[in-house]
Amino acid sequence: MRHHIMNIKALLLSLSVLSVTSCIRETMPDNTPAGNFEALWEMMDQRYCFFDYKASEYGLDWNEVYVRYKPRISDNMSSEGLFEVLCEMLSELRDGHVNLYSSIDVGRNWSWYEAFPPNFYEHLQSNYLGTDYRIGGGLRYQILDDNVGYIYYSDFTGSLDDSYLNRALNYFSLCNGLIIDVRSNGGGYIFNIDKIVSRFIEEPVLCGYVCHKNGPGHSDFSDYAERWIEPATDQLRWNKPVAILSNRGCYSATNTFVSDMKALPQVCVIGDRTGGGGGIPSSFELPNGWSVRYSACPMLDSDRRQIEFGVEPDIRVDISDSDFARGVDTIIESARVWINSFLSK
Amino acid sequence: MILGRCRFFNSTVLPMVTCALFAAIPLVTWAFPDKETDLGEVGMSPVNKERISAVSLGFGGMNALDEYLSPGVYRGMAFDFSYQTIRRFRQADGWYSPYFFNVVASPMRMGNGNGRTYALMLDFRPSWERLWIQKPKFTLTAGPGLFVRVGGVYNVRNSNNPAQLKLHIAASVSGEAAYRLTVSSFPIDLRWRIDIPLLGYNFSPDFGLQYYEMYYLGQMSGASHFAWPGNLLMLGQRISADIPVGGVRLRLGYMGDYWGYNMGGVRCRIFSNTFLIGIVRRVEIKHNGR
Repeated sequence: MRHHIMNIKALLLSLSVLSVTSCIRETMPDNTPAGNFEALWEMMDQRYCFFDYKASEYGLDWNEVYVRYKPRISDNMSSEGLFEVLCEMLSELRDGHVNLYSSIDVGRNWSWYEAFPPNFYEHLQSNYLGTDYRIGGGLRYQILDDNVGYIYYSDFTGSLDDSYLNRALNYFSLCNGLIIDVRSNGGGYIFNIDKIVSRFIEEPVLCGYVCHKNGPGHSDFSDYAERWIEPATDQLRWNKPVAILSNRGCYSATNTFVSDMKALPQVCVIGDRTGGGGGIPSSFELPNGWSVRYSACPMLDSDRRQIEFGVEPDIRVDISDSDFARGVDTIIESARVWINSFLSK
Repeated sequence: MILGRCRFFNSTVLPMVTCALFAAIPLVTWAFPDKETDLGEVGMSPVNKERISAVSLGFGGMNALDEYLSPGVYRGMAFDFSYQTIRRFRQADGWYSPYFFNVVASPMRMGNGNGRTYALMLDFRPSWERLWIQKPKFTLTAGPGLFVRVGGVYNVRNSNNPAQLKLHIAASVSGEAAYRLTVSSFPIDLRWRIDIPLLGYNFSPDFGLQYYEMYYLGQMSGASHFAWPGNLLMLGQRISADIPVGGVRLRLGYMGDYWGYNMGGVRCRIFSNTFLIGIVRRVEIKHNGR
């Protein structure tokens, strides 16, 4: 009898614990226009990280967006039609990190730079770089006539090895100052930021904060984690003045890089406001297989301010029409003036 | 592939039925008593200075839902290789020390066919099992064990968080029921084995926790979880028949793995079902247990 009871207990225990996995079912809606719309709206509602910030900045109301776009969804609409409506809905977020990927097209919002003056022209830049500039690790660099070093870094996606940075800084060792031009750099690997910034600091610097959503609510966030950058103590470092050139094309990792460098005492950001992109992107999929990229983790500057809509420069400069006509890059010239004035102080 | 799409094999019905049936074995044997006999005579389990090893290859299907990577279910073919060995525990009579090593790999696609995910899992499951029931044609062993799973799931389309590391280490219970079926004087050993991890550690990043925070800023606390049956359930079972063919014993069977957890706001379940074919060998242990 005792054996009977023990065996029955074991059987009941086995059955009860297995009920946990019965909860793990796919919750994705059906692959219909309405199902895809619902999936997109709900996943963004739970995962997108800037709803509260954008509600305060320009009155974004994601529930109101649902009410406005839902009537445009019908069962018999084409894939192209659905794609168009979903892209329009996502554009309400005004976020360059939000994309809808399909075989039809890549849904995007590039208003962060398309609606502003370019403030960067390669033919003007070539007047400074010349043809005998050096190339290494994604950097293109040259020494200008007034003994100021000039580096153009167009993309954070490549691997930036320490040896390339050592080579470049060594090349500039006798220069009075350094211009780092990151205009129209759309971002890339966030890890490259630390590699560069670590060459311009003498002690650990708190560059900013990052947190992540820890629940589906718009205000559900983890505690802020501090982003410290350590100096590259065993590598070549630079302690002379540095001018960072920015425009609206600076996005994502570049935006964070400008924010980090701006906090350093010997650094001046010159040019236009950066394009923004202060969220670390992540991805999910819709029932029809379209892929969605979205901002998942907000990154804040060292004063805990949002950088999603860009970083304001220390010296605001646009390329003037007259300089443009003369083949002069107003922003590079302003940087040269600032470096020389910094040295004369 | 077929198993990967079958509702029965990809729901909790199968593991529930499995546990219920295995738990019912003692009841059945209690209801039909028989005289005890020596295992060596039966030949289903190793005698002293002997071990039974089996190597097998498997082919079937996998079904995976990992919400950290995607809210959608991925399905595809599964291939596995497994090695199993069992021998008597020298320090204690009536105890056996089996261990099981398994590698399963699966390329999977989303239902609509345009998303890809790859999974690779390595399992190591040693256990120490006591002989509880011993009858002329039937044995039942069960005891504590260790469950170690290391692997990963890689979603091709994700940008910043493309993969999920899988690491599950737990104290487990394991058991094996074996029955000798004689067909035309050929002894066929039917075996049914289950492994159930109970308490341990499972790596699973919380909802929204990014790689950058974990691996660059060192925010690993949100990825480590205490695993217990309230938040993680796993059942591994193997049903096999060892058939004498010529001078060797051929193993044919089925292996099912049902692994699911709900931790930190992230749900994950990976089911795999494969058909096995392999070879069983009896090896004499010569020196120092080798």
